[in-house]
Amino acid sequence: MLSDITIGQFFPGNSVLHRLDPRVKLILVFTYIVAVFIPDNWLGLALSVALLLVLIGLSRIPPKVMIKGLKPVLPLLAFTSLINIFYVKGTILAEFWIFKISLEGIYTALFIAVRILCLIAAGSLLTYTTSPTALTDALERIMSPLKVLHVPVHEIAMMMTIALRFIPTLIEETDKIMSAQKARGADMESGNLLHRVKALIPVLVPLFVSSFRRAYDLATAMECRCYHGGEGRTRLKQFHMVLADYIAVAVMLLLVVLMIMTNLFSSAVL
Amino acid sequence: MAFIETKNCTVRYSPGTPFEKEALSAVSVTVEEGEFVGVIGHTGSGKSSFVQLLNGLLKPDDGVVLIDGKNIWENPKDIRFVRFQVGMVFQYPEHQLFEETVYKDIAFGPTNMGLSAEEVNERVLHAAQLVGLPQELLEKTPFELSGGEKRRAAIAGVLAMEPRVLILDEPTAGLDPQGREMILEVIGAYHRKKKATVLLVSHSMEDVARVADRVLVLNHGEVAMFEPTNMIFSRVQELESIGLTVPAITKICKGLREKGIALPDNIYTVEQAHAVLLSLLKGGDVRAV
Amino acid sequence: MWGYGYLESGGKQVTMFSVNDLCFKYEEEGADEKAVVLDNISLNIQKGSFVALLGHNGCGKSTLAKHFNAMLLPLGGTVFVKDMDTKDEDKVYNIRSTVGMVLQNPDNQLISTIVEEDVAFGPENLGVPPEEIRKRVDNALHAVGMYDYRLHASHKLSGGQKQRIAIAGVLAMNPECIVLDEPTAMLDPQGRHEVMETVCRLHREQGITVVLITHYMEEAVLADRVVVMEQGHLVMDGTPREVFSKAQILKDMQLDVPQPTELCHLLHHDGVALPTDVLTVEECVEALTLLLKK
Repeated sequence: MLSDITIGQFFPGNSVLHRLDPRVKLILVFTYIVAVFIPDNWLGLALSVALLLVLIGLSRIPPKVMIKGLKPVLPLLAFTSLINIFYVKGTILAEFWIFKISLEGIYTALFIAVRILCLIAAGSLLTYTTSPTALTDALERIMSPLKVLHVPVHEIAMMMTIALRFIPTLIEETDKIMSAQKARGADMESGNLLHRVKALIPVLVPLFVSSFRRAYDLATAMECRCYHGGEGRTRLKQFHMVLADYIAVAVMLLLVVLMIMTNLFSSAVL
Repeated sequence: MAFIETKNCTVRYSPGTPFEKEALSAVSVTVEEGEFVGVIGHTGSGKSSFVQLLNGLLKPDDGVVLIDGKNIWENPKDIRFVRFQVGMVFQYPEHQLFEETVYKDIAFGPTNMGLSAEEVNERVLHAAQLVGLPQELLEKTPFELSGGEKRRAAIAGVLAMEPRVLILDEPTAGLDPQGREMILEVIGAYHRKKKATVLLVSHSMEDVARVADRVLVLNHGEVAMFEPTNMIFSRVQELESIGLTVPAITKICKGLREKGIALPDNIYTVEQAHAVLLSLLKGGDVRAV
Repeated sequence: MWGYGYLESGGKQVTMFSVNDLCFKYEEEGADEKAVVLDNISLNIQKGSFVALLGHNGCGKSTLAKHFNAMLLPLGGTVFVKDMDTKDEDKVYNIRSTVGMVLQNPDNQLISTIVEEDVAFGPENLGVPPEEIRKRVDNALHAVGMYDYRLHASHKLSGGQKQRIAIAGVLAMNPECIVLDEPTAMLDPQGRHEVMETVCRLHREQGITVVLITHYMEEAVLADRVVVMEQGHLVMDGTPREVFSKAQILKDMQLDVPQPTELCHLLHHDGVALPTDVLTVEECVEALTLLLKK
């Protein structure tokens, strides 16, 4: 069923990671993702993996969930690894037909696979420990300087909030409409591509119509509750940096510095 | 003859995960051909799962579903043909209208059945007439119709398949009393004219009391009661204990019985109560105006 | 806090809404004279009252309701909320925070994924300081009995719970009146009960004025005033007892009558000496017992 999709899910909790200021989390995850690309040696990479493992431990997110979240990227990972194994030249380990496998190729493939896993895991950790609304909120506040450049920051954030709120509702609705059309004999499982695309019309049209109806209702509800854009709006949640946030920033800075140092003093793989 | 039969049907949601939940537990129910069955139970009682089992939208994890003596999952590829036989009207069916015209929308089901153009045409016109949609509305887009008309058009889309079993999930939800009346009449007419077997899923005890021959009460995925309508409403206490409300009229009769007035315990419509009380009042020594 | 009780200024009755000669029609292309939705409506609603608004779909009751919080503006006549003219653009947020509105579809009026953030939406728009929002959100959630759910995902709640959250969202704006447009139409009996219980409690305990649009007569019976509309006109107005005692008129309009009332009417019609203004099961049992035990 469509409702089994869990990517970007939030797991409510009360761990240190859950309680960090979402702005800090957002910026640190971004920094981490960039930082993973700094080291060119095993030591540096090991450091970033270690930090990630510690964070996962702190978040109390079950490792099972983390692994499940990484599953969708496996095909991509396999593809890039294969390319790297065959593409990178160096000491040849094995050879058949036109393919040559080099030691360097395997190293590079491994290295890049670990990097990709790290950045996906870091991203998931962010969404697992931060409520979607806190995330959009944080994004709105981080981007608020852009208002000077007439970027509609509040509107973008509000659109994201509403999208997040309505995705589960629309998924549920799609399930319902599909059942109803199947009950009228709609055949969505067989036939060629063109046939299948055509078979989607009885699902998509009602879905669009209902989305418009929902949008109209929602707009009414928002107006009834005095919505008039971002101007003069206050927020329930105030973000305050506390000690833990400063520590988090310090740890991340330390990691970046350490990584740069490993680049200088350790032998490079790449 | 038993027309619908479920034997020990169990349906599980999210099997094999910590969230596994039995929506239905070993449900065995038999419905005769031409019966009008009311299906009641509170939200989460399994009533929606039960009816979706009958037209193959849900597959039982255990047990079999027989329609007209035939296991509907015998050949999974033929499940579509089961759906032509067992028509299903979902909640808010007007939300599934999609064609450019009402006519085309009603024709969707019959066309999927592979009927000839004349046959489809005949069925569309017949179904429209059954639900009381005037001919001139058929060429309009469904979105121009009023709420009640849309609902009727959507129901016509299922009736046009002329299913031998008609299942309706809360067909009167969200309508005003006038619209509610209209829909119940349409269902009753289809039941009588086509000798169809009807299952009406509803929260409204009043509606069920008025139209059903037998009532199936589901609770926690199990059959709590399945008896003729007049027997069901004599079990007020049991119904209330599983969180169902009985019609006000049933409560009045219960109240009167508790005051020592000899009334039969199977009254569930205003008309019945009226008749019984009138004969009691006129027969007894009662002042009349 | 909200709810000053409904006797302000020394026990004098205060008018919540005064509607004078209100006319309205939707301006659509090709709309003809028939499109008149509200035709010369005049109506006063006292602060602290509980008014049920009945009528068919399309009789204009929702349109009238939308005039109560300036979502629609009169084409003719005036609508005053207390002393505020709904046409006065400067007062619009004042009016909308005074008159909160709850709509029919529980899925379409929650804005945020998290319950407490949704409840905060109104006060946030009004620019209320954060500490005050916190207090209002907590109070509102307590008032509808959903405080324990404050961190839950709103889309996973039951229909009745969603509607209670919608009510809390309105309460957080400190309204004096709540207008509910068929809030129970899409709910199961359990949800309907939860919502009505909440509405009645708010009316009783906090003195909030309630305007309830409904098709369910059991709900209308709970009000202290019933107004019936048909084709843009007010056709009946009185206490539930007065209105439902005219069962035949309601039946002629194809509106429901509570079953106890209907039964007494039928018997009365057959010459049985029964009162015709019976509303509840208990009253009906009592009246019939009196007759039958004689």
